Amino acid sequence: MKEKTSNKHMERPEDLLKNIQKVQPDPKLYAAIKQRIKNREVETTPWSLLRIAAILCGLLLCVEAYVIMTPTTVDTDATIAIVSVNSNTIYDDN
Amino acid sequence: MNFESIYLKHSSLVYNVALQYVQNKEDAEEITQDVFVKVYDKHSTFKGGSALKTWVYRITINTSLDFIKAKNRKKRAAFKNSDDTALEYVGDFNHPGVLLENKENMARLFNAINQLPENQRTVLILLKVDDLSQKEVAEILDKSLKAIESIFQRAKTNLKKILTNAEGL
Repeated sequence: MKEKTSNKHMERPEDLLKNIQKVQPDPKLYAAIKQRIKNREVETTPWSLLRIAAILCGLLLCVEAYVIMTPTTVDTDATIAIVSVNSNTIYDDN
Repeated sequence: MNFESIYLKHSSLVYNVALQYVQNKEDAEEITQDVFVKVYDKHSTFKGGSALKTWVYRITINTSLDFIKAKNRKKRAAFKNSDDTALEYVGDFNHPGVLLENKENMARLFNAINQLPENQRTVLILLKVDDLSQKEVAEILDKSLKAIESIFQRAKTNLKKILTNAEGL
């Protein structure tokens, strides 16, 4: 009889799964979940501040890069003088 | 519906589905916690496009599969083993829903189920353990009835193959 059952299960092994009983979770699990949510909310505050600080730093860097990279539209004598000096050129004073 | 009511109504469903994926109490509890933290984060934005139960099922399935992947990654890193054949989940078989006299057979069966591709494993669990209809499974997995039937047939064939190979060893 036992062999017959075993053979039947070999033919349709998935039918064995029907014997699994439903289990109730530990009643303490809800408290653990609430605690985890609470802990996470406390933890997230400094992270959000850090995120804001990082975004501000990024913005400042972008502004600085923009100021440096943008060519000056008005060429005064002073800026022309600065720009035209080539440090690799050897000048002969004579 | 507030968070506590959602928990009371669905905690058993989540815990039992997680148990079928990991087959031990500790991991199933961890998955249940992860699922309800996600539910807490998203329940206010849940628009009711599908039934709440379907939505909870989807989160549970995804969280369970992610948990298994993460555990396998850790295990691989620990053993420095990059062999893909060792990908299947090998947890401690300590399923509280399995009777002692069935434990040996069930451990063997779950060992084979854990080697199935994710979608086949999920369809088998939902149809055979959770006793859902093919229509319900199709809705949860967002697939057609025909697709579910085909995945189920493949799961049965592969399961038989794996079990036969294991017996031949």
